[in-house]
Amino acid sequence: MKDSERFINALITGNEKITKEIYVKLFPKIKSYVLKNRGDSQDASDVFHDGLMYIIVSQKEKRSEIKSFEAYLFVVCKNIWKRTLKNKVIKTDTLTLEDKEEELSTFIVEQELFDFYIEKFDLLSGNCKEILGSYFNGLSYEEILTEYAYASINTVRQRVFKCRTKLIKLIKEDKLFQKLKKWQ
Amino acid sequence: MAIELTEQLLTQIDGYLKDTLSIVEKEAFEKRLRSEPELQEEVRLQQQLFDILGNEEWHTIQRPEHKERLTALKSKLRSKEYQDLSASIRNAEQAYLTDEVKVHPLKKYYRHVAFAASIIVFFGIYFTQMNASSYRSLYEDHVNWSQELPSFVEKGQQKDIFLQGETAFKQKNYKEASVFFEKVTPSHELYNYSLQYLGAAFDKLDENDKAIAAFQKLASVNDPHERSKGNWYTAMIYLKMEQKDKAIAELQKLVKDTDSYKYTAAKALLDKLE
Repeated sequence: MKDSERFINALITGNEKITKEIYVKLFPKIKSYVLKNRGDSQDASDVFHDGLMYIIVSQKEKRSEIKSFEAYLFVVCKNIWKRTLKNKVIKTDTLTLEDKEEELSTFIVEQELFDFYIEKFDLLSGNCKEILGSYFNGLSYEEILTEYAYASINTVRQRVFKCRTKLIKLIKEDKLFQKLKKWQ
Repeated sequence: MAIELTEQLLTQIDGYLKDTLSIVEKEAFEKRLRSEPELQEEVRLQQQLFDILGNEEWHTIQRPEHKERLTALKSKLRSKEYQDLSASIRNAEQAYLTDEVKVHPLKKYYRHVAFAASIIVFFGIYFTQMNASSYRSLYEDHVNWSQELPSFVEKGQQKDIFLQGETAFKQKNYKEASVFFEKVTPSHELYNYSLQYLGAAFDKLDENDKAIAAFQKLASVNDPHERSKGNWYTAMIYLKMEQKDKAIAELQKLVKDTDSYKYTAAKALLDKLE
């Protein structure tokens, strides 16, 4: 059995021994990320716990294949921390348990949306991913022209439009999008 | 009817999101937005794409718009099944941290020590130095009430004795909390949790005997998992009181069943104490 499958099975069945292996293997990396980004050990511990809880909730609702457990958990934890910093809810001891559940539930909905869009984005061609990635990161058509050596601004604009339309189509034709929209 | 997403419309949406439209353009666009719910949806979708694929911003949802889903998730997280899974994660973390503490001094030591004989001497020192005051620190390492006590209070809900107790506990009025929890009878659906809170309140008040009495009640309920919680907390209070043997006896009861609360942590702790 692959590591990711073994880890997910352990999490959803509450197997503490294997969950401890996850800690041994991956916690130091997450901890170092949180410490480098204005957090402390307690924050790292909460982020890791919530990251694992997210995996439990989402995998129990719909089991899906995760190619690299390590990479996936890292992205989820990074997102939790990014969100925490954005909302400036840094000190957990001032939060009641009720707030924590509210925060975790909200994060789960946001991360579901995130996972859904990334999954669709990954279906695009390599070239579309590069060019759209740059565009959504705020690069102008001129900057994209220079970076990818396109013939003209017009070509860049057309390419961005084509890739973007394709992405929107992929998103909208998925039934899950209708469900996510209904939750909004 | 669905809107056709032309290049021109996308440019307008981008301009609106990046706030680069002129005042006149912005006003016209906002007027359209107010009257066209489909356009609102398109703008929201593009905003999400910028936030999520742009890597910079975290996309935050508007809670009231997701009320139904959030309520379902909260009640799921609050269910016994998920509370137990969350506790398993915390237990695994505790076991991991306990190992870390055990391994680190040795790792450092190996770097400096050349002879096996010295290692034996070291072990001698290491264990004899684990004196009474370290038992209390084990209690401090393992007990974190704010993480371990589940919350049942919801906004706008009528408060019964249990919820009044929980509120007092959260406000650090432990005496008052203990009075409420003592009134919770075994027929109450949260009776087991009330014993946990009651013991925790007495622990906070440093009334250790009363804390142990509450946890011992928990250690004799029907549910084996809840019973093991009673054993675990009783052991913790004994450690705090520096009564190693009694703590060991409670932990030994707990490790008889691998499904027990904090099984892995209890095992690791027993190895250390024995």
